[in-house]
Amino acid sequence: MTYYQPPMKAGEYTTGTTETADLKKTYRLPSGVYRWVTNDSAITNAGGKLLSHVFTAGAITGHVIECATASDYDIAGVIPIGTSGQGGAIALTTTLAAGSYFLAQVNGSAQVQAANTTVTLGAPLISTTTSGGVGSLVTTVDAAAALLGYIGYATNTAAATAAGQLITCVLSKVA
Amino acid sequence: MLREADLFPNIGRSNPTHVRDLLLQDRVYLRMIVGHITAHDLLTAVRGPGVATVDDPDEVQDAACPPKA
Repeated sequence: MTYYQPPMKAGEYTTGTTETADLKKTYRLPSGVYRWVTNDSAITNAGGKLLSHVFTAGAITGHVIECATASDYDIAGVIPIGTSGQGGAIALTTTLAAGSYFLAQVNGSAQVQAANTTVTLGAPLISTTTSGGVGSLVTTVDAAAALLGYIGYATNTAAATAAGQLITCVLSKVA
Repeated sequence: MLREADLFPNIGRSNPTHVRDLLLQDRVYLRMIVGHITAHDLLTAVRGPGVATVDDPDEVQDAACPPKA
């Protein structure tokens, strides 16, 4: 195996188009596993939002959109938050223009946006119909089918008090 | 009989040969990663500095035969 650097740090984004060839490429970094993706439409308040894959003929394309489906099991990852960046650091309030490129996080410790205030400490998390937001499995969709959409559990020390609030979580399927 | 590939979607969508070639840690990751990813994705993943490229022999031994408490 060969050591390379990823195109940019997790939590950064660029609106350049020179990285198209790397779309879908996977990166193993000390902080988790990431995939290089681009968003098909603008994403407001991007930091911590949940993403869905855009498929072509059944195959993933590296193109993503905000997830707005309850218990979606085609999750493409989370938009990580950064503190600095050459192209630009992603914050909670950052707007990613359509066609931006960034690393989507698919496992490990992450920050995600709560879709509502049902997300308490240790809550099992799933996607919701709120664009990019996550809710609690037990209270949002209490059905076996929802288990397929499980994306991890909340590790915040306190419950979310407002929609759009960042909470910490561990992205993980049931093992 | 349930197989690993039945229980974990990312393993089910991977080529079994690729799954066998994974590092121990990557195999665990493949089970737990949220979203569509395959063993081939991890085998060809770009590894940043500080990420292991070979299995730690002690970890392999512990996984196969956990140390007694």
